[in-house]
Amino acid sequence: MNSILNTYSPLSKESYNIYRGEVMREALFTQKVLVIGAGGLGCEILKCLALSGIKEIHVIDLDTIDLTNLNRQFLFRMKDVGKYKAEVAAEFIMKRIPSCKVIPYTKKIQEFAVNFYEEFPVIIAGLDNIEARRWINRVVIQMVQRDENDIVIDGSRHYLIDGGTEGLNGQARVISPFESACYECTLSQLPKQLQYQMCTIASTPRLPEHCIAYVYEVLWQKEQPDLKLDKDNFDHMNWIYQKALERAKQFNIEGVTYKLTLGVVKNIIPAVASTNALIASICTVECIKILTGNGSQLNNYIQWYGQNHQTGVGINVIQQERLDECTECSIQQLQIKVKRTDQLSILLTLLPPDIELYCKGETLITNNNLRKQGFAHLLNQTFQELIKNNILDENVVLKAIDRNKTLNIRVQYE
Amino acid sequence: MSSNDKYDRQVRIWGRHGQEKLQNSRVLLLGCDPVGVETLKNLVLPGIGYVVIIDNKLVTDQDVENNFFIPYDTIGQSRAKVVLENLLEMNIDVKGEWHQIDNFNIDGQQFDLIIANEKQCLETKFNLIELQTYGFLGRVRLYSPSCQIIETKPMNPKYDLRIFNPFQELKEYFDSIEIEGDVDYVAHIPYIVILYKALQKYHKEKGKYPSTFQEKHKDFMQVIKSLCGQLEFQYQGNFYEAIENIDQAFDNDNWKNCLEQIEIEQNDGEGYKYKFSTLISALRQFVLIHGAPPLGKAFPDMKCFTQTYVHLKNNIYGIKVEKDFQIFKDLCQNKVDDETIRLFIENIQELKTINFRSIQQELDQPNQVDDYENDCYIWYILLRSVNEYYRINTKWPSQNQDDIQQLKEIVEIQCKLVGVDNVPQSYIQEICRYEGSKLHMIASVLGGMASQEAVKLITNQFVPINNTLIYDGLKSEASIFEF
Repeated sequence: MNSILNTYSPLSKESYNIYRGEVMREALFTQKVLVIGAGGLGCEILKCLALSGIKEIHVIDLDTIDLTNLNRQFLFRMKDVGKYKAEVAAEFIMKRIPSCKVIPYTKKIQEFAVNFYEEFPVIIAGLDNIEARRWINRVVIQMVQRDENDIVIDGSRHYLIDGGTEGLNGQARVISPFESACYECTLSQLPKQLQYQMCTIASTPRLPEHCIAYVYEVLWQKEQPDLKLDKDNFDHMNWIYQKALERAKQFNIEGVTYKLTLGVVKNIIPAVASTNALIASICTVECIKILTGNGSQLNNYIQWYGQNHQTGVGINVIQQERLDECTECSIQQLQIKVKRTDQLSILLTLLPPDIELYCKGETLITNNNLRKQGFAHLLNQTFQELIKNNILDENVVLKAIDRNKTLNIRVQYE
Repeated sequence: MSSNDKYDRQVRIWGRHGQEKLQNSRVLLLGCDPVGVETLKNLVLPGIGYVVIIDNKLVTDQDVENNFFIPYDTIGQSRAKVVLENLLEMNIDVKGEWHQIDNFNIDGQQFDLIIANEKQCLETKFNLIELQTYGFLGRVRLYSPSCQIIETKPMNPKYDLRIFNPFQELKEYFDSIEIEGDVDYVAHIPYIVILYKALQKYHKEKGKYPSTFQEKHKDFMQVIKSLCGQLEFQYQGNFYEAIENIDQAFDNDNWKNCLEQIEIEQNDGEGYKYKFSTLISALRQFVLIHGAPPLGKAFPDMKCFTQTYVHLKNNIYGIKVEKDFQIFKDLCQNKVDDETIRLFIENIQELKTINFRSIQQELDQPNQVDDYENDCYIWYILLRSVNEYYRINTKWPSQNQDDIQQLKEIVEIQCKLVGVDNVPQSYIQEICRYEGSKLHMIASVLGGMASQEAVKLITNQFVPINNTLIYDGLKSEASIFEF
């Protein structure tokens, strides 16, 4: 690592060349990094960070280890099946690399307060669902502080590095709040989930998948409405499989297998060690570059296609565009201070006139004549009362629609 | 049951037959630098059969710092031994051996893949992946003496539906249907019928079939829409499917060109190469006699009544598939097994062969490339230069003025060799920072990329890189070249 911490680099940031040497080494060795997810990507990220000079890594994952994880989540063994991923991963890394401290958490990311996340200049996420990604994206944006001139305060900008894989393909991105596109900006670009049309499933099935989908989406509810489907329960899955076979027979359709049943119901994404390794490592490289100033940051999204018929593999680097109307990071930001004992109506004086104000999608203030009456009672309540009654969430950025513009309103409650 | 199978998630990518190939494979690793070890890690996890590790060094504290499979308490032990033990510990299905020697004699042994760090292996009759990391940079070089792929597995596979050249039974079926009747009936006419009828109508009106892009995508599309009659076509799934799959109405020359370009050697004997030659010869004969390749089983979903679908798939297309299979099988003269024949027929549209330039050829004279603006190309030239520097001085260049000067001279020669003017001074200075350093995180990136290619070579599925990938971790880019 010394070669990239001490030596002069004409192709790196100014800050690197100024601080290179002892200062840089000390800085790197005292930085803390947060890893979200200790699965396919998480295991690889932990290994790479530990061997790249990071001495303290925190890792969050509430999942337990499953047999089908073992083909790629290499910090786990057969004997670990059933245990918490974060804990087993932490133990393995610390045993192999004693100079690195790994602190595991087996909670949901939403259970941590914002000030927990403030300790980490970089957060690397190897998540497998959209909701969690949106949530951490929101947190990272909300952590940004601005001075009186509305300029972002250095040090309050936390970076989010997000990676994902599917089969031989994968992608990684660096989210730099208010500089690059955030996760929310690009939500519309997500590939659509494969959905089978209900009319096909119900009346004109043709593929074995249609038969399985019918049993899963229609028949279960019909024949076992009181039983909650557990996708990891063999008896439940076998029931679906057998019924799907029956239906397929009815229509003369071939191809229903137990394996296919699992694939359709659990929406199984094929996964393999190599893709996870390369995406996770790319994420780590970006993290180290951010922390040291080496090279230039990924700006901001890289796609890897391990399966390309013409060239073998395909690599694209794309600069995703920030959305002007992004509900998380749009440039329209307002910060206001209120006392907890103030009434909601004070916002009518602090905010532009005629706005619609929402908290987590629920209306607080509206200008609509037809609906105004319904919300008038809120105006007389204090912030304290509104928070207590769960109408207002003090950790959430409020959204205001002002004519056609979206405003993010950060309220500081005193 | 597949849920009890730890390999379930990967078998969904390369199938049982691919997994079997992996589990029967023998892989040789020459040198325990992090990049080779990381590549091997990603092969041990999915369950390759047997591993041989060769390395002549003992573990130093340098190794402990950048190699995950060399724990802190193994200093002084044999590198090959330590790495093998810690790799195999991850997966009890994998077996192996290690040797602490300088030169490994592979005579008489079979390997499905050799992984070599930095040109430890130039000439070989086996599949080879050569790897190098240098600071933030990385290079993967593939070589295969014979690369003939049946299962190329394109992202968007092409279906062979014979819409423009229907076989007799299919033509009779198409002709028996009229696009008229009640709304529900018309809305469930398979899109392949719609395309056929549209072709007929077009021919009737214009006296020929669509051939230019304009004709195929504008004029022909209008004809399809006109068949909709009183229905709003965009609300009818099947007409929409017809538009989406419009290219299936036309002959696609792609596979014909592929077939023409495939070179096979006449040879006798056993093994994959021999089977492949037989299959290609049989295919060429079949096409000559019947005007089209044997029909494959693959049949897309399409909006129509279940009975219609099952009838088309099983009775019309299905029977033709079996007929063609028997004829094709005869042409193969018992030289290829049924399973391979069926696999071949399914993949006829997308076969591929690659002729790899040998590493020696590249060393002597790399292919000229037109990508001068590409940073990765500059790094390639510089990597060649530092390798040459090492060959002369048995050490890597540092940022010392004399070292930089000597490297500059080597760079000039390399540039002339590839027809490039020069490389920027800052890049030369940058590469001298690294002094041969092997960063774990870069090794890990390359290990992931190289292991994907390794699986392609071993399972003979998917198209491998021909032949070099350069990774620039400094700028976060990567490019493919054929050198």
